[in-house]
Amino acid sequence: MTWALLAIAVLALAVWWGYNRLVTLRNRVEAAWADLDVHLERRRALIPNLVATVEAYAGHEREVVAAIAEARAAGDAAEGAGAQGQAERAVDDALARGIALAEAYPELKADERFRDLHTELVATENKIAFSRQLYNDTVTALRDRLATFPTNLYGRGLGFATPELFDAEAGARGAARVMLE
Amino acid sequence: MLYEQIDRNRWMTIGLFALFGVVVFALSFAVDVLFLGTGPAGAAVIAAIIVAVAFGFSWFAADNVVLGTVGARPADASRPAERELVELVESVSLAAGLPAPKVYVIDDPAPNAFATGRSPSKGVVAFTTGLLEKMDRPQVEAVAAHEISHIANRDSMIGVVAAVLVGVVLIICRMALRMLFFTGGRRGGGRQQGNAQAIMLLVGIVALVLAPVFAYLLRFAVSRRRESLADANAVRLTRNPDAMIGALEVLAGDDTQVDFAHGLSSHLWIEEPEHSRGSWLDRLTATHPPIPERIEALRAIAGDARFR
Repeated sequence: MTWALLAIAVLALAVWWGYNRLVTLRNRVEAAWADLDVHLERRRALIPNLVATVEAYAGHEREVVAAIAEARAAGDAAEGAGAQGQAERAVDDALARGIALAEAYPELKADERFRDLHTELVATENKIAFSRQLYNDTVTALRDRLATFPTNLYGRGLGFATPELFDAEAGARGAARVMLE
Repeated sequence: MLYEQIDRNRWMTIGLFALFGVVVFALSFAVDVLFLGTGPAGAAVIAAIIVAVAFGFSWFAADNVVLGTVGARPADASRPAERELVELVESVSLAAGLPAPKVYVIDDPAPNAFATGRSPSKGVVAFTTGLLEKMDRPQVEAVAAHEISHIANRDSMIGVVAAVLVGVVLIICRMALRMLFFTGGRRGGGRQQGNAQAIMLLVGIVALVLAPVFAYLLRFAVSRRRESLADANAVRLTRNPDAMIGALEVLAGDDTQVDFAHGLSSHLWIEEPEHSRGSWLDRLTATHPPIPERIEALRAIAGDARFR
């Protein structure tokens, strides 16, 4: 009888400790996502300025401009790390095309605002790259914990969902793909 | 992940500081036996004073003293290279999940960098202008990641405390030995105390002689371990072992030494500011592992990272 009680107590302590670990990790994932999201949003927020500048010199490149605006809207609308990752890939490609217009339009390339925007976009993409790492690292830690014994027995039962990884390529190679000399 | 490692590292640090405690206490005991004769209580008081002085100085004054002696100035946002450096440091600290440290610049042609600050929220990183000129962006990122990992692990705090402890131990030992030499120490209370007293005195003298040696060796061991750890963390943060290796090669290939570094702060730099000649004594008293060994260790990690 005493032994059974003792065993239950030990088990309860183990679950308690495991639950607290899971809560800590989930909070870290949320904090890391919030950080990453700030930088992703910052990059998309720079897009209207870029569109305005590009239109001033290359107004008839409607297709490129439309693609950028469309990618931005899709990025704003996306929910969850998986969908956001896909949307940011589209933003990457659209931005790279937009910046590459500088090669065809020397006046655009020489424009002060355009260069500043490019510098700012590249800096933001650097931040995205490093925040993305922290996010994926924390997600992996939580996923490991949810998939290994003994947390795998009760983690899901206590309401812990498996978080999604953020696309390891997305978000950091748009404007940075084209270097202005 | 960095913060998981910080948890583990904490125990390591506690262990090393416990050893420091043993050294300090042995010393206090020796001083007490030789001069005061008040027993364990007196020794405990002496030990407490040593530790309090070391921590007090490190907590309140060490950062400014270090930044002042090396001639560091805050990064100047009006210079493009330094603005980019600040942005780069901010980016790298994102990956560590830490608040961005303050960035300082040292006008010196020797490539080097260091971190200080008593806690992650008060971190400071400083780079020499030579480093900024000689390294490309990924390499500077690797160096920044190395320094940020020092901040995350509170290495500079620990290093400063260790250095100050060594200093205090050293001063006390010198004073004690000198007093012993001139006065012959505390006179025993007559013949009847006999052998036990003589043995205690002998132990005390041996402790006085050995304490500084142990204190030094511990300090260097603390520092070398942490350098290797910071290299490995830098690779984890930047996912770019080649950049860290490249940065170390730039450091190894450069013979200029930083002008104003001195012994007390050498564990804070990414490369040892005074170049040693590689004898066994130099190796034992180095604050950093030799750069070729650090590169070799990173190559091992690099292999690991590429196959993941």
